[in-house]
Amino acid sequence: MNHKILQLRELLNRKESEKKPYQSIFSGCLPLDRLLPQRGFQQGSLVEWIAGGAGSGASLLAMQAARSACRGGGTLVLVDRAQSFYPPGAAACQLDLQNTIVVLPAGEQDECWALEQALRCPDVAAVVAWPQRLTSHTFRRLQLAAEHGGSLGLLVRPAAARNESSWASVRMLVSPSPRAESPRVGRQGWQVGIELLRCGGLFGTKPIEVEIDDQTGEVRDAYPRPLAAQLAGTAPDPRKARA
Amino acid sequence: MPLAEAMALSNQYDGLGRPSYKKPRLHIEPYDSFEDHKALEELAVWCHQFSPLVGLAEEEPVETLLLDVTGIAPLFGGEQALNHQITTAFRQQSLIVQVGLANTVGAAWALAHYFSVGRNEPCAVPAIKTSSDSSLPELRGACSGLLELPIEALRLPPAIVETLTRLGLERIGDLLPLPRNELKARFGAALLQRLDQALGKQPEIISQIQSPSDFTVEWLFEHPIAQQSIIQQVIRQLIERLCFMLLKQGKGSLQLSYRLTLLDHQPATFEVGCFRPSADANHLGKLTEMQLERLVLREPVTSIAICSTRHARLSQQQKELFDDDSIRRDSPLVASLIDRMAGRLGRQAIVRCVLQSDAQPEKAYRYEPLVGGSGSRKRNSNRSPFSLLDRPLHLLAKPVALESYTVASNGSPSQFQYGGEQHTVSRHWGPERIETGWWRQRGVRRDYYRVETTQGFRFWIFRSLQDERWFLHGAFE
Repeated sequence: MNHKILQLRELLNRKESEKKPYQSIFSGCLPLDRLLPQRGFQQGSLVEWIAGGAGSGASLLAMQAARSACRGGGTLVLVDRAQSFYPPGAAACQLDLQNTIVVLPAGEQDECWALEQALRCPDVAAVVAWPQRLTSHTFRRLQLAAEHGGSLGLLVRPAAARNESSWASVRMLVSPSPRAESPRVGRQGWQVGIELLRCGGLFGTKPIEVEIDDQTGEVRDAYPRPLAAQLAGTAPDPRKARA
Repeated sequence: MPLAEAMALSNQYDGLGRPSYKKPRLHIEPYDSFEDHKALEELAVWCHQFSPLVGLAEEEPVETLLLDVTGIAPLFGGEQALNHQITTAFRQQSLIVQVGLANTVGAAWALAHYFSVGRNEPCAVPAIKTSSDSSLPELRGACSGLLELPIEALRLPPAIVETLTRLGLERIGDLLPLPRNELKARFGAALLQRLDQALGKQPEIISQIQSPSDFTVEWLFEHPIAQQSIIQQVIRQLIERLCFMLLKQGKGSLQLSYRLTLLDHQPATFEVGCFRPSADANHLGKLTEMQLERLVLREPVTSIAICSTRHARLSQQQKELFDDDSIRRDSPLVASLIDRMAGRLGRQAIVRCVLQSDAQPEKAYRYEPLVGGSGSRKRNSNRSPFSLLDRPLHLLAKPVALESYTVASNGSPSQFQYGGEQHTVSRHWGPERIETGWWRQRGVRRDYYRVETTQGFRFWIFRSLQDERWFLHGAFE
């Protein structure tokens, strides 16, 4: 049975990669890229980050991906209906504000329209938005717009959106890790958990924990695997190994 | 001018030099470069009474009008009389102007900015007569006034001015004895170009500001028309005609103004702006259709007029033979996207971020509309002095007072309540003290903390030193 599932998964990946001749883009998070079938996000697709609450770090991870997508000098469009986006924070993430267009729509309808227009534009490298509500119909339109224009759509959604239907090709839940009573020795950065809810043929994979370096912004494994275990491909659980 | 200077001039301080809130408050408006530029263009059109060729200097910000008065002075009774009339006319408009008169654009600019400073009366400015092949002694004789002016009068970039000053070259005349090839090797072609333009060795063109009526098209109906389809068809034809007029002069429109005269009602007007100058009838037609869809015409239309109120030279970009997929900075597709979004959402909704060096977080940036500018995007410094997690990605428009909080013995927050949830702080960074200057009417004195809760969430909170209350200002989303 497992063999059949693997075959189906390969077939699905092949079909999807036939449809999308676009390149894959580094997500800004190496541990996450290892999980993704294409080792990154696909151009011309939507990526949904579901924030586990205010202050969860979902937008930060989305910005890292946007920065990666715009590395070749591409244009970034930010659709900010709530008008809470803070440019100095984005500049601290080394986002190129010179190539960033901020759209401040008044209502939901204008927000969705602006998103669709930006995703359709072939010369827009990435679009970031924080839509609160997206109907299935609108989501599908956005997915088609991204496919048409070849842009990467990065949508940061509230926690309530987890139970809604989604047309994103990658869907993740981002929640920060609670700080233990006795913290791990040497832990310096911000530890955040990413659970891949959906990605191509993958469903319900094990959540990963990443650490965002406070100084450099580098996103790395929170519990790096020993090299031998990496090479062997079957790594023991580091927490059990220490115990 | 800076706010502090304005307050000092309007006598907003008490006897001890502190801001006084009892005196009549000064009305403060934020600087709008777009409106400023528009007003200057209107002034340029008004100056057609002195010259048929009036333009704006290519500088940022634009603050100089260029008038070609070749052969015109005798009509006004001589150069001095012309100078006097210009100054008086501006004074009647409540505008103070410094006039420079010379036979080159560069020299006139230099005189207006550096020779006429401090002179309230129209001054007898000597016209500089040079020829393109003048030798050095002849130049010194003819341009003695210009050569005594500082280096800044050559309109050079600040970096070149600073280098020249450090080398002891402070006057324009100091450059003439130096070998030209060495100047070019050391400072690039810009220095020699400006010097030659000032001395008349290289021509400089004034880009004329056309009066709006030059790019106006109109359609008068025999009978009033109410059908939308006919109105749209007429507008499309008018746009094509207007674009043809613009293209003949190598210009594109930055703003179109529409006026639909109704039968027994006030005329209906609307405007369409562009991010880059455009003479593409198709593109302008689509932007117009978006505005027309929202227009409700209560009466039949008797005439339609379209005027290009702002226009600029069209930029030509040659396509490369082996064009790769990399996105160009000034992509026409992105420009078209900006125009469409501005057409539907409004000019103020499509903006770019400009960082400002202000300690107060709310004022550390501003938004500038992309549509309606001069068509060029000046590169601003976007280098942030902060590391990655010093500033949040989301800032609340107004800080929210924390419902309850507990403070540790060292003054740092240990617990707080926000959004109905209790948060316990496990780690914090700070305090980072942010204080604004005494001249700010509503200054702030805050101690900011980045906090990480036991659940792993991160927030940006501060204690106001004025009233010791705690506020949440942002979240590290």
